[in-house]
Amino acid sequence: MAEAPAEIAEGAPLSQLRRWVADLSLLAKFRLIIFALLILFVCAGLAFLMVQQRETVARRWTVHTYQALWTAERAETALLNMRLSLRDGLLGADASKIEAFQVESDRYDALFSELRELMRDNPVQEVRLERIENLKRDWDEGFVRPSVERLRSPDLLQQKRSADDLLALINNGSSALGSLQGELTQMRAVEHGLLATRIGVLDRAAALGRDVVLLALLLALISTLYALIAARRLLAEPLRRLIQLIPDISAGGHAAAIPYRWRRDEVGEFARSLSALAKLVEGRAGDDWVKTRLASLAGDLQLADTHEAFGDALLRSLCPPLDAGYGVAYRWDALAGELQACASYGVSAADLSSRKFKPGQGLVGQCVAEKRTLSLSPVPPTYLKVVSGLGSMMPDTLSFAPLFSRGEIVGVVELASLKPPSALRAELLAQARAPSALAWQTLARSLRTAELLDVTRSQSEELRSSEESLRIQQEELQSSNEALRSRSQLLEQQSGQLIASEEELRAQAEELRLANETLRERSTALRARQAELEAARGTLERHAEQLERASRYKSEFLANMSHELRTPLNSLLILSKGLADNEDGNLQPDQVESARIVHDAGRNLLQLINDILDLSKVEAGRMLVVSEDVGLRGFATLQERNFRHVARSHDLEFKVVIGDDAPQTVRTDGTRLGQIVVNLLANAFKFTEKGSVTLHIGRPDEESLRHAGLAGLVPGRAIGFKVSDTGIGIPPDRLDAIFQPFEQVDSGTARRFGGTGLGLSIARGMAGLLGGSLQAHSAIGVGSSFLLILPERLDVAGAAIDASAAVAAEVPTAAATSRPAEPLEPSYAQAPASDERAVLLIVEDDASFANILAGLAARKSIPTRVVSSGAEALKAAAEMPLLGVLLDIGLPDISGWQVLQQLKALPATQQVPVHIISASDDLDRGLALGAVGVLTKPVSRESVLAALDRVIAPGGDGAAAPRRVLLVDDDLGSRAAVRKLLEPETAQIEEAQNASEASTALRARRFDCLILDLGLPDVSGLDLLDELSAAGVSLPPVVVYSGRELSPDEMLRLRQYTESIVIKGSRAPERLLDEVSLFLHALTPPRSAGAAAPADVVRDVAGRHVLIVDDDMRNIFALSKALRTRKLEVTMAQDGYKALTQLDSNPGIDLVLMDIMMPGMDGYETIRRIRERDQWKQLPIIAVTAKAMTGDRERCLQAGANDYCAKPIDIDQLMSQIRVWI
Amino acid sequence: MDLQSRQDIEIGLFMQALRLRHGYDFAGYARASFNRRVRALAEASGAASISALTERLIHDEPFLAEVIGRLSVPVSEMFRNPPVFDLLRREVLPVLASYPQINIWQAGCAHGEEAYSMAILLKEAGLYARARIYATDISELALERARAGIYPLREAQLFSSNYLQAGGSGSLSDWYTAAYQHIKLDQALAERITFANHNLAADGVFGEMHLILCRNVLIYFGEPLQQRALALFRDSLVRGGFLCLGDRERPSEPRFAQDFGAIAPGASVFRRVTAR
Ligand SMILES: C[S@@+](CC[C@H](N)C(=O)[O-])C[C@H]1O[C@@H](n2cnc3c(N)ncnc32)[C@H](O)[C@@H]1O
Repeated sequence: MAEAPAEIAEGAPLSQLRRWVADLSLLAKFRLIIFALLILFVCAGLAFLMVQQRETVARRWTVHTYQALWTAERAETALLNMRLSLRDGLLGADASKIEAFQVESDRYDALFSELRELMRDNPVQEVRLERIENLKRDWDEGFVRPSVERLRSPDLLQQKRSADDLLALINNGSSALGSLQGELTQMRAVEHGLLATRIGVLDRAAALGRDVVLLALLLALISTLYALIAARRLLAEPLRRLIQLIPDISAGGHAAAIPYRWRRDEVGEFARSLSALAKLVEGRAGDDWVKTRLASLAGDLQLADTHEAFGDALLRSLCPPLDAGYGVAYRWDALAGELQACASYGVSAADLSSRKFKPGQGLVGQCVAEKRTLSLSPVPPTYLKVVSGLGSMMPDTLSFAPLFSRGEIVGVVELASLKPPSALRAELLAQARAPSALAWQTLARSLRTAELLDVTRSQSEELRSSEESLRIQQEELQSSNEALRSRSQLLEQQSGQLIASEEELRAQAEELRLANETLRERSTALRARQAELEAARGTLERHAEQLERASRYKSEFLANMSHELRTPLNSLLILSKGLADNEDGNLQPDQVESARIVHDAGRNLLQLINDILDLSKVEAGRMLVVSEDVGLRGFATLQERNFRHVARSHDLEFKVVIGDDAPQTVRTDGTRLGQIVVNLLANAFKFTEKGSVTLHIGRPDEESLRHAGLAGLVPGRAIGFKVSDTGIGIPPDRLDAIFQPFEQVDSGTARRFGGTGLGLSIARGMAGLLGGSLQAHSAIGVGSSFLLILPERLDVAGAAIDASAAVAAEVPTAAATSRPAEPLEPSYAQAPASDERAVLLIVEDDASFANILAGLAARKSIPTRVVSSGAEALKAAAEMPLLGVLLDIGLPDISGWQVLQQLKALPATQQVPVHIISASDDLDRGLALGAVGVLTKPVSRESVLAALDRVIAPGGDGAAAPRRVLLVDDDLGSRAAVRKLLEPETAQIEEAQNASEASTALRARRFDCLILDLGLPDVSGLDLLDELSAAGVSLPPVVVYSGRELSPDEMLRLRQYTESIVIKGSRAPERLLDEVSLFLHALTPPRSAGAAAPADVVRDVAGRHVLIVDDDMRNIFALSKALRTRKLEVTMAQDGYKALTQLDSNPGIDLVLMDIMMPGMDGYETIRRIRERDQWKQLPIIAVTAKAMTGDRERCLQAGANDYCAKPIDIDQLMSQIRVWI
Repeated sequence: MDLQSRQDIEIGLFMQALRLRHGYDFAGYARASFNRRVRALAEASGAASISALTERLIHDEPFLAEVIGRLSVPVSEMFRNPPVFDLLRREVLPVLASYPQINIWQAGCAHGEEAYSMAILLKEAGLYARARIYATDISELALERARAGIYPLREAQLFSSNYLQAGGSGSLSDWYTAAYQHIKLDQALAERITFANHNLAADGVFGEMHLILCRNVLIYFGEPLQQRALALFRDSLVRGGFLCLGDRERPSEPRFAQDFGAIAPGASVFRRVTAR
């Protein structure tokens, strides 16, 4: 280990690099080589290119230099030619030579400028050029110009003479030219030098190029060689070595000896796999070894048949392979609870039995307690040594292996090994534990079984002997059986007797039942009679009711009639009075007389009418009473004054007396009081011929008060007005009759004294209204006295009628009688009925109302046409297009119904919306005939406007009419919310914010669904429903949407109208939608109006009163509906307590249907409580229960029910049960 | 003849006796479970054989209650299977709140644990005042204990943890008092509970219901009897009413799927489908 870093440190740079290369994967290695070669080639190429570049530059410079040389040479030649031409010209005085000179001179100039161009890069040469230029100029000055001038001058030939002068000129020119030439030559010399160096550069470049190519080739050769060598070293060689190892490995494996495992390339991987494989092979070999040992161990162990033999076998099989020098086997003795040595190996067996260990004691016990193998190494020197014939040896390791089978300790093996433990040996020991433990346990068990078998064998021996004694007992039993059998025969006889007596009993019961039956029959007969009586009473009551109604109708009729009559009479009286007075004096006396008679008759008639009116008002309870303070003194004086002259003219005494006890004032209706008293006084004077008439005012006495039958009135609180006369008197048998209307004592009297004969009836009626009474006393020939007794203080609320009620009652009569007189709006000129324009047709015979309708329509700019009869209406409909029709029913010719039918029958007018506005309240008929709506008079302005809306824009048309929902809620927000919620239903939603609006709407139109909030500002929703159903308005399906919870009573009431009750809350909207859409999509309304009573109305129970007690609404209503259609009267109670109260307050209940399963007090208990009361002991009770078992029926009967009916109820069966018990 | 088939005959006779003598028909019960119950009954009542049991059944009137009590399996817990109660609280109660009166039928109420749990749910939702719980069972003995509302103290822990898992807002101990190793539920909870005897195998509909809980009862029934019970529930429920079955109870018959739909996929709460 310590060497490795040194090795690496030694060859550090190289070996590290090699290691790195070796670690590269194969692909990476190849890449590396190819990459290196590539770089080499690129470098060589680049170097070569650079050399080439340099060569090119050098060559260019060489050429340049050549050019300069060549140019300089030519310039020199040109110079020479110039001189030659000039000299020849001069010498030959030939002017033509000047041409040739000119040509050369130009060439020189061109060449010179070329030279200058070429020399620009060389400053030395440039200076020289400068100099050459100067010299040339000198030459030009000194030679060229004078020569040219001479040649050109016209006296060329004269000048020829001065030859010396000419020569001087030419020489001059030659010397200048010479220095010029010298410069040029020097210049060429310089260029030559340059040329030489440049050629040298060129040569060097070529040599360099060659060197580079050679070097590149060399390098390529070397690296290729290196790559080949590396491949062999790094790949081929290792692979070959590894492959050589394979046969070795498969033979037995040398996992540790495999090289190259450190490498990280494929070779390393290969080596590692090989090493894994080698390990596997190694392990397999170890396994095989262990298995072989175990197999032989198992074989040896199987042969053992005692614990000792087993221990021996175990140790013999284990010690040699484990290299153990000695070993001891301990057996678990379950009885003693300790380990006991039973076999040994390598040591003497002499003192084995003394070696015992409890669990946890010593190492032997400890390994049991810990349930695992314990090893000890190194072994202390004091420990036993392994002895052989030649010497002794210290063991290396001690092992203690506990043997457990199925969690039970079986034994322990102790081994002393001479060698340190190897993994393989530990494995063998570990694996040997379980099978040997199991085998040992099996051995122990089979030894134990053998023991037990011995014990059983001895026990069966004992059994056999006891059987003997049993047989003897059996024989004894048999004889006692004999005795028993005879006794049972006796019993049988007795039971036969029992059956007989039972039979007798049954017979008795039969008789009893018979008796019962007769009794029941009798009681049924009684009941039947009672029923008849009841029925008779019912008829009587109905008659009375009819009578009462008839008389009320009569009074109403009278009231209406007299009203109608008085109006014309008024004018009659006024006119006849005028005539009778004869103011113009143009009438004959007999004519005046006639007029007076007419007037008197008219007055009488008016009086009669007034009386009839009063009477009818009194009778119909419509007389208005106001209470005020009436001073008695004033009242008395007034009467005295009124009748004083009558008394005088009849020559009668008239006294008015006020008693001392009379109060100052009384509180009553003064007018009515006056009317009564005047009436009485008038009568008294009428029927008295001589004597006196007295009015006495004072407290009535006890006697007359009693007689008056005014309960609760005491003398101190009453006041009496007594009118007495000394007239003809009234026969006693007529005393009552005089108070009847239209009756007098005898008709003769009436004729004699005049008068309508209604006075007393009216007076008595009024007295009643004032809370008092009117009585008469009389004796024929002596006189009569009438006593009016009134309470001193009229308490209006307590009086028979109060003012507001009277007013309320009077109003509709008046409204119905008097036609709406004044139009509310100014008259509207009727739109001329142009043929094309569609109009709203108003059919109304009441002109002023028609005017109002037209006015309202005009407000909405609807053109109208008004007609007043049915015939006109139909004519108009045929003539012009109609927007719609407002139709009255009570028309002078044909009825509005007919008009409607005809309109709907004609194709042209079928689609025209018709709205009925009428006093008739037969709403449904109009809607059934196809009207879009109905309004009942009297109408409000708003309702007319709404009707107009409906007519002009009726909701859709034809079959696909949208469903209509009436939404009644006082809260605007919640109406909006519901409207939003119902949007998907595309229903037409009408809103009402209180009960009266809702009521009007429901009376006027048909709806498919009514959504009703219960808490309305005017009348509660519940009351609204009650009211409407009482009024016979057919209700659409109702969905109650309530913001508050409901009491059980309210629910019970509501349940008559609907099952759909939604309490507002988070999930309520979805339910509301659900309920409403159920109704909107229903093909037939779920609540068909109560079907007519079916044919099976059971006569004998009809009209009987049944109490249904059930906590479940659905049951209650199903039952009560079924019973009601069979004409039974039904009362409901929702629990036992309510049932008791209902029974208390309805003594007429004939039968009780009692549910059993109820909260609080259940049905059994309720029945028991009912039976506790004497008067209900016989009340028939039928228990109604969902329980259907035999025991249940009995329990009901035990609790006191008479009969029992199982749910679901079969109504026919229930009816027959009811019939039996009623 | 082997013991097994002899015992089968005995049980058949016992069943017949029960029907003829007392009107209880167990023929529709799941056979194997019923047989076990009978054997257990024989063992518990110290009868030498099932025939001996039959004999006693016929002659010993008060014995019936014990027989029925032992044949039924009145085991339950408060807020058993808490997620179901959570679901009821979150999804079902808000809908029920829209009814003016809420009728709940707890069929097979055992010792009343579920009925009281329901009462607590309603109380906490503020709906108890207008609710009625009908808790029914076939066993009079079980009903007796249910009325008492007393449970062993050792169960309180389980109940409490169920309650919390069911999303309870307070503590279950608000609803009971503990003494003598028992807990007694607040009597106010029983105020609107009607405990009554009702046999799903024989008796009829007794009222209109908005929610029916019948958990772990159908498992004891054979197919036709289950169908009968479900028909009872269907007829009792209002349109849109709820039915809560046990977790293992998913009736497979087509009629059920027609009448009921689960309120959430896989939930054991169903809603009576609106018939249109
Ligand atoms: C296992 S308990 C279910 C208790 C509770 N529902 C729960 O899930 O925790 C079954 C109950 O059903 C009742 N039962 C069995 N058959 C019945 C039947 N035909 N009618 C009514 N209840 C019955 C048993 O008495 C028993 O109390």
